[in-house]
Amino acid sequence: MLLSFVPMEQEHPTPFRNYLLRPRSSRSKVKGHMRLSIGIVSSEQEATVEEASTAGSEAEEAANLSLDHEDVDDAEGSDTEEGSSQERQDQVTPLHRTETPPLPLGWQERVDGNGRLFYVDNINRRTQWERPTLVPSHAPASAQREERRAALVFQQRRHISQDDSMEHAANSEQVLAELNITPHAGDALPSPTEPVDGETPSSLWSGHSESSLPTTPEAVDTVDSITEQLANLPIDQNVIEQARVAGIASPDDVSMPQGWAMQVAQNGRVFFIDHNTRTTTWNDPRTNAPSPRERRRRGRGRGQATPDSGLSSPADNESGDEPELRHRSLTMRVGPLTPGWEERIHSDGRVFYIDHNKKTTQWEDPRLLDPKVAGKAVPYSRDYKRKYDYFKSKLPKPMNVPNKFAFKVRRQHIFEDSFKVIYLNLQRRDLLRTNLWIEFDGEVGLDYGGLAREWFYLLSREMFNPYYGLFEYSATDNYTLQINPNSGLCNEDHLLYFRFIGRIAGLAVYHGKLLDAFFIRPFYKMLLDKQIKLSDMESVDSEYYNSLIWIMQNDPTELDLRFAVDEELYGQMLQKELKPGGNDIVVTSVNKSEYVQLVMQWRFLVRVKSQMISFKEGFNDVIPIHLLQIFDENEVELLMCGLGDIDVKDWRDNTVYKGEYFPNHKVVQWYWRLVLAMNNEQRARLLQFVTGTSRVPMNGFKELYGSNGPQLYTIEKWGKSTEYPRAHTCFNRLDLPAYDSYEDLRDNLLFAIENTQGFEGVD
Amino acid sequence: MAATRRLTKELQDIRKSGLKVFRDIQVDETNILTWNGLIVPDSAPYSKGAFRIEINFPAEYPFKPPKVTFKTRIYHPNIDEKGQVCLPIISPENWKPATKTDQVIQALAMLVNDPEPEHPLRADLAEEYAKDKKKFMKNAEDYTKKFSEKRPAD
Repeated sequence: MLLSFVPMEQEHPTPFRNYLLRPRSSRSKVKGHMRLSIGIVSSEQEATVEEASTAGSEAEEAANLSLDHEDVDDAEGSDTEEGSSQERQDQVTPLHRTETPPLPLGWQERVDGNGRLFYVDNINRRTQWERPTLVPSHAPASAQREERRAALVFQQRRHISQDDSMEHAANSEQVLAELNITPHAGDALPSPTEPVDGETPSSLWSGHSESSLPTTPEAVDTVDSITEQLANLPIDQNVIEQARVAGIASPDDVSMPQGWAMQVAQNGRVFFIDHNTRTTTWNDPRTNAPSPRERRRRGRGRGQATPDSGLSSPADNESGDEPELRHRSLTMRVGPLTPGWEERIHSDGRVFYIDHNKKTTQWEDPRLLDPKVAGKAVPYSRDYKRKYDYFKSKLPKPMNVPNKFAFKVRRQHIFEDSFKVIYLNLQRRDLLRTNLWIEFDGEVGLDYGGLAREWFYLLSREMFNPYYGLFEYSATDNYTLQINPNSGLCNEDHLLYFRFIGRIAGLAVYHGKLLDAFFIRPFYKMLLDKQIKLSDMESVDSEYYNSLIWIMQNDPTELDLRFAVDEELYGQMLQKELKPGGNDIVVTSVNKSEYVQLVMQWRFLVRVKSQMISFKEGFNDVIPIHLLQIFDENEVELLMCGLGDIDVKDWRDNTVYKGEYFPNHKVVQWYWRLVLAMNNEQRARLLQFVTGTSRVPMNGFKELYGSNGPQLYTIEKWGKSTEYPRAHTCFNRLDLPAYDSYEDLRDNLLFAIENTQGFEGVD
Repeated sequence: MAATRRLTKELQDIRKSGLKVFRDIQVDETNILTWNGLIVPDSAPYSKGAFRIEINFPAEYPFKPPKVTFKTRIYHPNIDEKGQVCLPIISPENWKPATKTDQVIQALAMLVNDPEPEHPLRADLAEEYAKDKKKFMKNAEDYTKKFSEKRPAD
């Protein structure tokens, strides 16, 4: 181009042309004219600039008028959000071309339930109303911050295999309450790691017994997880230090009876662990005298607790090992109140709290403010952990391969590099089962697990990014993913990629790592070859679900539906028969069950069948997929995506109540007390039960989404006290009967969340 | 197609029945999922004009509800500046696949004629409506005169 020979407009007056703006009706306020000119400016990047300037007293308005619906006060700029008029767009195009540049990379335009446009940032997984602009000056910094935060959230999620030890490390308050795997001096990883209730018959915890499964003690088997743990154990080290100090003052461990150990609680008081019976006591087994008290302690959060009542002496346990009692005391234990506080029961049965320091009373449990209690959890074991141990024992061992599988990827090209390594160029699948040794190009690092974790994280963000068209968001929220039925249009090799992604998922599970993604529940069910039920639709698409329910409850003949569905392909609607000749079969009361079944099949299975098959093949390349079948779909989510910390205070602060419930209603109090007493896994299961996923939104519970948009966690009074609680996952709502006691509430709620089949949703 | 077949029939029925409150119905043959028409209210202060609305049906209709937007500006507590309206009959919780578009239009016309200030989209107008009805009526009438469309001759 010989643009350099074109004279710059600064030297000459810019030629322009005025267009008179004509009012469309007599009431219109349009006047003035629009001036259009084209010129060359000297800037090198912008060789030509289409310059539009307006003249006249109401210039800006003039540009926008001629529409019925424009807003006088809000002259310009808000157009992108209006989404209301095609007409407008057409008229204003020349002016607005420069104002609506293409969306930045990774952004997507979507329409919410009210038809409003909003924008999804697939990279940072957030949404906003404003149209994003291409790299504003401050954006990189905030984007980086977002990304760091996302990475942090991911790092805080952890695998079940690390659960117990990490919890203990994080909170020695609870070490006191649940003292069984406290590391003691000179022995970082004690052998009897099965917590107390490991002995509890599993049938207590759930309907189906897994007691035939071997209960191997938790074994931390890889070097990397040990290092990770050690790195994360600052408080533990403290405890060990304290123990050493205390150990000097009193008779040392050697003189302890066989299987006994001594430990120091956070308050400085010495206590004793009997590994034989897996119990703890304040009493020294050698003298049978209680250890000296460092400071006065109140009860252990048990109603009318007396000090130390949470601990039973070894003798007590041998004689009266009542499972029910144990079960009860375990789930009731919240951890001690802060000194000076007292818990009392009001005459109407509600619990309240007295602060003797300030001489005040309150309904709120003061422990909610204690992050040690409300943010972390009491570890315990139940079926899932046993299942996991069993599952691990069944994993195929690597055969005839070197002891590590080393490869190098570039951060900027992590998706394609990994695809080559794990899929295209992989010599033998057994390599996938040996230790992964990952290096990022140009970085020196030894992979003892940390880099592998980072690799899974970074790769997750790429391969599940809807930008690549392999996966898509299921609803208006922006975090549950499903397979994109049209993935073949975006990428003709899509099935290879699904196989690759399946392998990555298998690798993550095999090596005890996590994926940074959450899927719709039917996805996990498909992995397990489980039948997808109507209730599964609720969390995915509540409007569609409600319509199907309506069909089941009413005579659908008048709807004149046929055994066919509409499918969009290249913007065209195509009709697809659900069964041969379906176009001519009207849905009636007689055949509606079959219809609903076929619709579900089509929506979740048929449309994504080939992708799912490839994904499963990929998973199967690493782990025989049938091994997964000991888990249910919720457990598969925990297995692949891990557990995050759940902040009970934030949860409670962002909960609304319906029916006759209010924040300090007796039953509501019991409810939160129970949540406090739960460990992280139970909290995750409760959250899964009510919302469909264990994921907490990045910015906390205030941003919880239902399938129709923002939807706070809701507890509604419903049903009779003889019924189990039930959940509406699309509205994040728990229907909680007004039980007569804390124990009733606890037993019913725990039963419901651990036996979700048949309880979830409403049929 | 489920949506097309049903909408074709609904449109036919509506045209045949000659709804008084919904006139000048325009539907592009190539896209039956978008309807345009004039709401013609019969209560003051809106009875001085007519209001163009657009009804958008999702491809999954009737499994999912249509959306209604006003294209003509209207001074109304339940209709916001962008023309969005909150109509219970088509809200996600209440939607039933058996609900017909003419019921939706009737419900909309009722809402226009008889505002519900208890569930406002525009709190300022709802407050004015509740506290100073006279002023509200005056403003709404001015607004109608200024922005609304001409009522079709009968």
